[in-house]
Amino acid sequence: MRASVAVLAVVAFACGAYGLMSAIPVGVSAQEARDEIETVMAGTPDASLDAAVAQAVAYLEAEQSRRVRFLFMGYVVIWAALGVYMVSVARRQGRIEAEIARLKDAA
Amino acid sequence: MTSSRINAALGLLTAALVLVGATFVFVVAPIEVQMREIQKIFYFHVGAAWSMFVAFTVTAVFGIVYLVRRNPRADAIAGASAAVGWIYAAIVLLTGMLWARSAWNTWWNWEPRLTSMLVLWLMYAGYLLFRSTTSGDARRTYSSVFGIFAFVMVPIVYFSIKIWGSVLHPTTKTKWALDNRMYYGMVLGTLAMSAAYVLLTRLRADVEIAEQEVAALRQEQLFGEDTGG
Repeated sequence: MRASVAVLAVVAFACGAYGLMSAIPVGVSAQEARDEIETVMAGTPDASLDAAVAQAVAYLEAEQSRRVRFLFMGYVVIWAALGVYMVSVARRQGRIEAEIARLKDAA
Repeated sequence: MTSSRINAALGLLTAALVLVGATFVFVVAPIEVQMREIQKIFYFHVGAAWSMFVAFTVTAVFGIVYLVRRNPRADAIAGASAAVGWIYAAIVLLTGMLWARSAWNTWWNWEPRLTSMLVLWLMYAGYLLFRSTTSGDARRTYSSVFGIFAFVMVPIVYFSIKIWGSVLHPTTKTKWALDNRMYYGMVLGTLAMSAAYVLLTRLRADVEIAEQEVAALRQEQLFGEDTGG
């Protein structure tokens, strides 16, 4: 039982890390970049195209980083909750099995 | 097949489903256009919600079975299922809050789905608290009744949007136009969470039954000492 719990916990953690690493380098779509540049240029009509692109890129990078951070936290919450619960149940079962053996010996 | 072998097989099945599900979710499924990366929380958020509903249904059904047949194993399964369901409910709430912060720019909103979900979580916290502070037949009987009444919240949470309406959560009438890769990611995420639920419930029920055995052995020893003295 403990072996299966350990296998599950390790694989789940590895999957989480693997998934996150795969999720991070997703980039930004051309449409999203164009929309953001247009938004910047509409807000500051005097800005040059280069300045608008730089501002849009900085904003989109910050936004993407924020979304990935929340995704990371979500994954950590899911697997940490299940992992901690599994470990606590396995420990509790170990204690009770020891108690049963002690009581049977005493009888 | 022994119980520990079934648990080991379930553990491996869950691990395999998590592996394949995570691959689909993070590698195969495309990035959703509006919510972008944060939408990927939903593959497991929905899976956890589904498993939570199943868990609380199992609690109510086995509560009825206990009241009819007075079988302590049925009570152990009901209690185990509620404990695991409560963990899943916490996961649903927390991942929902993370998504809300990213999408709505707020951690919480008192809209019908979130509010009824919080009430559900608190009710089962009460159920677990009751079980942890009582023992014997009284615990089994009253917690079975508690589990049956608390189940009323399950359809309320599910239909809350239809009943009261919400501008934030999609209604059950609104079908997401899911890409096939997103659909399979959702199915695999749900299967992974369901398999983990079955495994955790079995482990927790085994612990409950072992605790009952300990209580019986203690009573036996006490009885033996009483007659001996």
